[in-house]
Amino acid sequence: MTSPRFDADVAPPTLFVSDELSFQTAADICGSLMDAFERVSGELRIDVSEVDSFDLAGAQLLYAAARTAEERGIDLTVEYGGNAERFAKFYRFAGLKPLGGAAEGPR
Amino acid sequence: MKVHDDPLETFREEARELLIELERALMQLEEDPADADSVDGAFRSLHTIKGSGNMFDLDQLVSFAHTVESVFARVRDGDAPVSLELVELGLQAKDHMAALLAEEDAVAEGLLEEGTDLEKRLLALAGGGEGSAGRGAAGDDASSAPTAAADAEGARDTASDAGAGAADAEERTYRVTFVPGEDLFRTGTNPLLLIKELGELGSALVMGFTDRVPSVDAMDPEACYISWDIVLTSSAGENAIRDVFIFVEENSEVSVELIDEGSVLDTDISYKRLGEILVERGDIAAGDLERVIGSRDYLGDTLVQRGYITPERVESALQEQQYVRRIREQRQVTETTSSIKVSTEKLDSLVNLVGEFVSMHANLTHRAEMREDREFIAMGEQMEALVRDLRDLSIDMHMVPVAVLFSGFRRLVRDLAQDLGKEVALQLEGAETELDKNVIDSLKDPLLHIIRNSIDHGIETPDERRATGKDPQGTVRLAAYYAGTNVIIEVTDDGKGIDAEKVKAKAVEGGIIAADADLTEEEMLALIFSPGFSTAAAATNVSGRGVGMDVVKQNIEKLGGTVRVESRPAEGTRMSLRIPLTLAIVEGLLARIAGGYYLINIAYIVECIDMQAIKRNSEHRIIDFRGEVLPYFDLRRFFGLPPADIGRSQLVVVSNEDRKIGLLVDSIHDNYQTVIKSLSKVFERVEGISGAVTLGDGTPALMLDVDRLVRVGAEEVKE
Repeated sequence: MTSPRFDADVAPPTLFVSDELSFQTAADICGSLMDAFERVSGELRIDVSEVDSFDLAGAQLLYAAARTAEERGIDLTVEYGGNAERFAKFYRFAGLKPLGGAAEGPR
Repeated sequence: MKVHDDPLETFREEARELLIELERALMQLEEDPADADSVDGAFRSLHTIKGSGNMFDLDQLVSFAHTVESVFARVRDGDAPVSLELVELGLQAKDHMAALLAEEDAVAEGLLEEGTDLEKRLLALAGGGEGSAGRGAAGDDASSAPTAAADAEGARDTASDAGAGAADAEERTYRVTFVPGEDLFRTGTNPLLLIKELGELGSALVMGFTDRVPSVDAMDPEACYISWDIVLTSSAGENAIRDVFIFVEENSEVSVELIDEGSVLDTDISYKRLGEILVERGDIAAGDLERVIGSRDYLGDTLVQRGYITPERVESALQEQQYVRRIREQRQVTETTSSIKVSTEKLDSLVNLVGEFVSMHANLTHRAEMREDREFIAMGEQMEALVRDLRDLSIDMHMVPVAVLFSGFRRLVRDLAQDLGKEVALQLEGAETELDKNVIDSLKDPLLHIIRNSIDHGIETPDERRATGKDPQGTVRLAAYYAGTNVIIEVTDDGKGIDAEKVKAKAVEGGIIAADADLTEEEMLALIFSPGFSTAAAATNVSGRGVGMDVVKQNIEKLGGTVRVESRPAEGTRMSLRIPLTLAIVEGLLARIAGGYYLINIAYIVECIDMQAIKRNSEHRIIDFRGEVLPYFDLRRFFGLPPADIGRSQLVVVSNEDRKIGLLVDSIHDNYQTVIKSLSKVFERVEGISGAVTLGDGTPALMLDVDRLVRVGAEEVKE
């Protein structure tokens, strides 16, 4: 598994998550998210376009990130790229409100 | 619906039904402005009225409907918002179209000005929207509109599947709440697989909640914080649903609640209100709901603004509301498309003919037995089962759910409450209970009057209610249920109630009773049914002109029913109407009195006794009935007929549930099924007689008004 990579030099600063967004990787990604939130102010993007597999525990991290962003006044976007349809389908199946553009484009 | 020979009349009848649909859609929009289905429904009704009206050159109606339709087209297309003002104008437009329909001429001069004014106001509202900018749903919901629309679409798809299956009478809809334990992921369980398994039991609307998910620095990344409400339409039953969660129930919260039984009719399409759903699901406390219920803003917005609940919970409750309404609507469509329309006149004729046939059969059997003709007796017996089935079927065809009656009162309650500055919720129960169509038609006015009285005199103003610790919103509950061969219709309010002593004092003042009259509380309350009685300090334009309740009582009694009132000061009042299921055909016992034939409705009969065989006290007109003192009533004496030897008479013990009494007749003949005819004017005022019948051989017989006789008999005994 590849650990998430944070790039502060792109606009907006982005945490790139690849390969797996799941229960197995949740602890690692959660740590990376905490670091990323400490390093940004104003804006943060989570890029999941390179994720191959994900599950509910992984998706739950995105909601936790949204909550954190809301609490800290940070504008969070989720970049789904080619995964947009897969995530939209997943949210629909789980009855969850699409987060950050899975259905309608990035927030 | 009646089918007329005149196509224009048929159109008018159909248009009235469409206007009822329009009203229903508007009332729904008032409650939930984001309900796209109701906007579509309103548009469809208007479009059909316009299209059909065109064929009959009803230009004024067509032009007006076109304007209103164009307004709703803008709303449907998202170019104009739904606001309370639009709903109000829409309702006025509906009333205006109803008035146009009632006009004989295609152009109603008297209504032109009103129509033009309404058109202007509607167009101003839908065009600029300034009129609605102050408040209303559009502004409030704008931020959530895209999401709500997408969710509604999803819900619509799922509910559509549910509706297709809902034709199966076994299908029920449940709300399954699943709150996984936080360690669920660690046990290797994927909750989505459970939801998938649940979905395989039927059609499901899945609503996930993320409001328990904490921020990344506060969360345990391996814990499960997401929870679900799943609305499931399934024939599998509650146990099968619970079985899905059998391996996780120890460390998760799972509840299964039946929310739709699959037998709901017309008026119940509305399902529960938003607040009810939220409290029922445990999303908010009843106290929090009460704190915001008086607010004139939309409930969901207010609850979110005050921080009682997340938007996610409100949205999901609205989705549940839409889902259940949709499956109810679709079930109704399935039911109505498998039926045809027959005019009520034709049905009346059929019931009448069947009744005559029933009488004829009874007479045929009787004569065959008299002649001891075995062949005819056997044929008569064979025919009996057929005649019974035919009778039951024809009565059944004449039955309609009281929903037809109840649905009309929604608007009345809304408008009255608004006019009187009161907050009133109308609760309907048992709308699927069926009654004879003719009975239902005759019940409309009495119920209207009772409901008006409840709101005008019973329910207090919000301030008055708050001052006495009550919910500022009062409730009027309209309920129907079966009780033997009768239907009970109750109108209950939680208003200030009726003070029995005050009623008595008013009756003494009005000369209705003597000052020293010794009355029970029930008898005191019953004085409100006396002609000219009114406790209202001032007559209002709603009720309280001193006429009404006596007319209500007369009308109910004309139907062979009774009305009673129960009330507790400060708690509320209940009016109970006991109505016979059908007026068409009754089964009775044929008795003779002084050479004449009399029919006693079998529903009242307890037992028949030979007077020779019992101990009696003729002076006080009582008998020993199985150790019980039973008063009896000599019908010869009551009808002013010459007296006969009581010892050779028969006693028919009857009961109207309140009281039991014996009716003394000369002899008893047989059971008899027959059609009741109305009495001619000559007999209309004869006390103790409620109708006339013609026996199979043409002999007339009179139907005894048992209810009345029991009451008169009981009063005589009391004296």
